[in-house]
Amino acid sequence: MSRALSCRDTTVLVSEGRDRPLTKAELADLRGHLTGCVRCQAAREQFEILFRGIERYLHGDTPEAQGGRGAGA
Amino acid sequence: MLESPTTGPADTQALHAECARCRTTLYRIALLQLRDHHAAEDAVQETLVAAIEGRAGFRGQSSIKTWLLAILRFKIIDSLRARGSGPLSRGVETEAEPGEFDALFDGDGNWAEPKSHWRGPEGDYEEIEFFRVLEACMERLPEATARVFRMREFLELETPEICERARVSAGNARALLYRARMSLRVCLGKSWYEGGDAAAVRTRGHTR
Repeated sequence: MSRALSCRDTTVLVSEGRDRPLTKAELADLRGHLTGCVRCQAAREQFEILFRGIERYLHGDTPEAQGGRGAGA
Repeated sequence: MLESPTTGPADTQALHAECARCRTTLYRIALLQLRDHHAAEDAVQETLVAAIEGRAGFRGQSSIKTWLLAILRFKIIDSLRARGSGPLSRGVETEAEPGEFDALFDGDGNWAEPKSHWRGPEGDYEEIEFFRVLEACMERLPEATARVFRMREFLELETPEICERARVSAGNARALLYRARMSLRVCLGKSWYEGGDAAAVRTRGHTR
């Protein structure tokens, strides 16, 4: 059974998806909502950019840590 | 100074220099997790000793800082586990208010925030400034939120252990993690992608 998710609900699932595997029903709901919602597609991309950035930052994988351009300024 | 981290005896000096340079960063991360000056100092000290003693194991595939962070992560987890449950988190309830993000949505839960376009599908991961802004955004998070968030994203602890170590309920942990991610997305969008108060954030980001 699928229920209609609000945009707000999708942000909760996108967050929780980082902490636990989402259930099949949750994934189906999420995909269903994302398919028809341009705003949530954009928001999800933004979350992904954020998550990748956080991973790089917290694990020292930044241009500064690598001695990349501008380092040591 | 450090061109590219490589291995070998000649790099012992480079390792010492990098350890000295990273010390403050490591200490800040440790203090945030352990909330105790001595425990944080110990974790950093043990990390640096382990790094110098184990320098032969450094393969130069990652930066020295990455390697130090990996060691520190284990030292912090050891310290948290040795200590048992952490002190009660204060103010957790007030940190995660249910209505906090109401302004972003309308009454039906649809987006009400103005559309914002982040440049391209990729993040600006080659930009040092990008990470300074992200760092500044993380520093703006309230204390318990930041601690729980880093337990999850940096120490990579599972939620039940986070609840035990931080003495928060599962519901609180979920709310704090949600709050952290929502706040960071808003902050990064405003401060980096949309200009906004970037100048203020970046000035803070430069302060070491």
